[in-house]
Amino acid sequence: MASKINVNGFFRDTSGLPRMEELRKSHLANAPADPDTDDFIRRLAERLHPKNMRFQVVSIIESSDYTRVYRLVPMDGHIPVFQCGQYMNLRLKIGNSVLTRPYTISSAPFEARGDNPFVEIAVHHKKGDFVPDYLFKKFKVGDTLDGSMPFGNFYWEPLRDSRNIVAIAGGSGITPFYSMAKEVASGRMKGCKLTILYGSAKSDDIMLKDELEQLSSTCWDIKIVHVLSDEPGWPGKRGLIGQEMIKRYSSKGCTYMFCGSFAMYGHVLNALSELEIPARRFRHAAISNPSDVSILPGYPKEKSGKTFQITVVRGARQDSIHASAHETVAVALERAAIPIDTHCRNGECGFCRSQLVSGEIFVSPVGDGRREADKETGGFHPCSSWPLSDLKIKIPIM
Amino acid sequence: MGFYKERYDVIIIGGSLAGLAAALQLQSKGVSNVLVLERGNFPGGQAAGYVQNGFEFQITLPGTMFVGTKKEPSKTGQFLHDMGMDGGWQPVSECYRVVLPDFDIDVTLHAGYERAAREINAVVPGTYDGVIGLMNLCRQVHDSMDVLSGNWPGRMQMMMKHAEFVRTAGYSAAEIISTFRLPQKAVDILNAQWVYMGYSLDTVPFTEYALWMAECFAENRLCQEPLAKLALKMQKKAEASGIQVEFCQEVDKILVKNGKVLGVRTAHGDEIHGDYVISTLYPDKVYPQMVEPSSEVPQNALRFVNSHKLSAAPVSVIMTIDGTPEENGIRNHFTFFSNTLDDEASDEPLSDAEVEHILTDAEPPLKDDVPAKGCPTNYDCITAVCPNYASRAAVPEGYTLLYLTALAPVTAFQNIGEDAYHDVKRRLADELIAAYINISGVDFRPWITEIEVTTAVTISHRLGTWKGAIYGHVPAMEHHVAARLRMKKQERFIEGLAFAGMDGNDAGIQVPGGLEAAQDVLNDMDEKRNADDSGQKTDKPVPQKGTDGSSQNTGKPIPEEGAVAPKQKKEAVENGKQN
Repeated sequence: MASKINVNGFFRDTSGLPRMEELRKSHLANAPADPDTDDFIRRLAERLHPKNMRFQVVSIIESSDYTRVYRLVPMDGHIPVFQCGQYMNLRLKIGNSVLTRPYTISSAPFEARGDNPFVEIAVHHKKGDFVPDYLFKKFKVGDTLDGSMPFGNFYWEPLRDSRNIVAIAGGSGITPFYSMAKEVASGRMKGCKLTILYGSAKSDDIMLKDELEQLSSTCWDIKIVHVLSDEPGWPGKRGLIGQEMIKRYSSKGCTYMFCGSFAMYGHVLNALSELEIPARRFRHAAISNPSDVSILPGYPKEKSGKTFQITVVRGARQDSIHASAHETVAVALERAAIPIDTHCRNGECGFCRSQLVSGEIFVSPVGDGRREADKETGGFHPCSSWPLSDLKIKIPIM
Repeated sequence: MGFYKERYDVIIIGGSLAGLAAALQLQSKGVSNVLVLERGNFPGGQAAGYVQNGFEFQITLPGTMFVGTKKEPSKTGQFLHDMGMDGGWQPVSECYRVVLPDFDIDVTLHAGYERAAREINAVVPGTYDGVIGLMNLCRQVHDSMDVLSGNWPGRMQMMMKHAEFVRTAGYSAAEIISTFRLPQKAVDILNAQWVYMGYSLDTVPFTEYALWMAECFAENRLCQEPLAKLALKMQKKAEASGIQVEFCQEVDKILVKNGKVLGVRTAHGDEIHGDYVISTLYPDKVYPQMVEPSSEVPQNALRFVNSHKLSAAPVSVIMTIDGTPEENGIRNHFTFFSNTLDDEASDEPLSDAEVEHILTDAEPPLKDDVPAKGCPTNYDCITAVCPNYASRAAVPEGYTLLYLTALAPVTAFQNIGEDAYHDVKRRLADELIAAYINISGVDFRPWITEIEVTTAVTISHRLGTWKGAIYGHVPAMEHHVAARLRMKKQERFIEGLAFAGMDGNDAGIQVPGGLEAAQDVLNDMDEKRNADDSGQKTDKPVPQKGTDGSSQNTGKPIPEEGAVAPKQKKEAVENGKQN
């Protein structure tokens, strides 16, 4: 059937190809020759994700003894749209090194729109933290900072999440919820009720205390519950945020959002699984690795205190650097002033993805964002990997 | 010490499947001083996807690669086999399900022309002969094109060996389909994917239609692991054989002097020299934006770009859902569904008023309220892909992975500002999900665990493609695939610059496009070598023999290279005579 196709007769049928060639030629010859250089899709993409931003510090507020809120305004005036819970990545040039550090944006999305747009980061500092220390000492009003934003997928997603939100925060993990509380108070997350269970060690560790009080006293949809673990005289709730407390503030089908330390994460995860909360109702921010890697489950303790050599391959070039067992590969690179573009600093986002050519590393089990294929073939995230031997690694050329 | 060598034989822009295929193909023919520059931090381009909370997602719907069967591999299948990468590919029997409630159509078609024809016959009786006739014709044309793409014999040979191709080449798909006198219902079932693409069959060349249809209903295999892993394997293999692959390297400029490629410059500012550049970025981006100096861009190159029209870009909702696909009402790997058949996607950008309408309307409007003109997507045909049915390994136990996709002309996003963007995305997602639930009958919304929405803007951000397009150019009679291949030399506007796969219908940049680009480069090297000729010493790499498109799929197992060579030589001689 129809194996010999015949459409308009033999001649016309068999002259099809030359006809198509002529058509192509004439079509090309008649097309305009002015270049279309306007990629409006790329323009929008770059508005949403500007590559490099330069911010000016316009004010620094001492929120408490240990907390400063830096208000930043981009030099070009444009702040990309972001969502409560997303972070910005600061690029700090310290000595010969460029350090990249994530900071959750603590201001609300609506504050980044309008006539006087700004973003804020709240920096918590107690002795010994290198980058906060640097920020506290170095940055004055009028100084500039390089960075980019927004990053991270820790945010409330109306297509999935409930309008009843139970936020569980520890220490500086309050910042995403402060942003969210402001957005709710402004009436922009319509119908959302936000309950924040905020755990701190002592009362002077509480970040943004007055600001949060202010919000919850003026907006019915925001409730804040302080829980202190380390201050016997505290009149409010004491201890750790556990199953009981979470249950008391939960409502049917509510969404749980967590931002806090590694230790607290384990605790909260246990509580939620005892309450049989399905994973889909639990969102958590990037969990920072503990400063002492040896407390991570699975870490071979005999490696503590050792130092290693890392051969760093970038294209045709090789460098050799020192690394100590207690620091991540990313920190070793930063120390050696070899640029590495980290973002989340806990292994999840994969921005710093590199290749382990030889040697042995320890990968934090928390937020191991490697792909399955990478686990098999040596792809790893230097920001969340520690050397266990001399290494040879291949990293992106920056 | 620098990061790059002083000179490369070939620099490949893009570590996509196409870019890596080109690299491997070059290497297999003896050219290994090759550099691959990938913008992202993982190989695969579109196939790379990303990881989110433990799930691996593609940027948009995972397309099906046509590799054929083990016995009868396609070009891609043969290539992957030659590279030792066709392990873990499993036969798949389902082609697609098409659900058109208004037309009372709900059919699932399976691989094998007879089987698919029987399935159509069961719903539209009396169509078996017509459908099988059309499919067989498509197959003949497909196989002819496979042979011809590297090698065009003279007219007599063409007429004798490729009569069906010759006779149908000058007609549109609609014209040829009409000769089979099939009832409209059968045609609708057969052509679901063309409606999805928003192409009118009146303007799609039959040749192009046949290439796609012959593969769509042929026996095929699917990769059991994520395509990202295949890409990683390709990268490792390339590196193991001396090819340099670098990530996080966006190429800003292609350097050209006196009409010939000199090299590239990256966004980091590295200037890298090479004799050839293979671009996986479209000419649409390369000629107007990337060639430096722009005075080196011939007028005809710009005419070439302007004479083509970009295909629509996908709007995808990507979800993981608690529970099995069955529990969530999802029973097929690939479903095309719609309420009405309308293959004209609107081309108009949204007006301010329409954007306003979308933004101010808190609740998603009923379908009737959606402005028909300038609607951001063609809701009339949506594709649902559930990778659980393709590969168990691709999705964690106990979860369903679902991609819902509609196409929107890239201009649909022209007037959407950044403040409106997230709302528009959520609104589109909401509507796509509602449409799917409408046909599946199971409201899975409370069980969604992860959800992402992709638009042209997402694709532009992640892949850097021109206007976020990934489906190449709209097929048209004036861009007939055979004419394109035959006129390749006239349309090489800059010496040393090759493009990987720009057939509109090709679903973008894929392995065959990479192979084609590698072949273009190898042919050119060959020609130069022949021109340099006798005794003159040259630094140029010497490609091995059998570089003239030797892995053609004639629908039969492909013989060893040595066995093919004599025939090709003979054809080349005939070719020379007749020209």
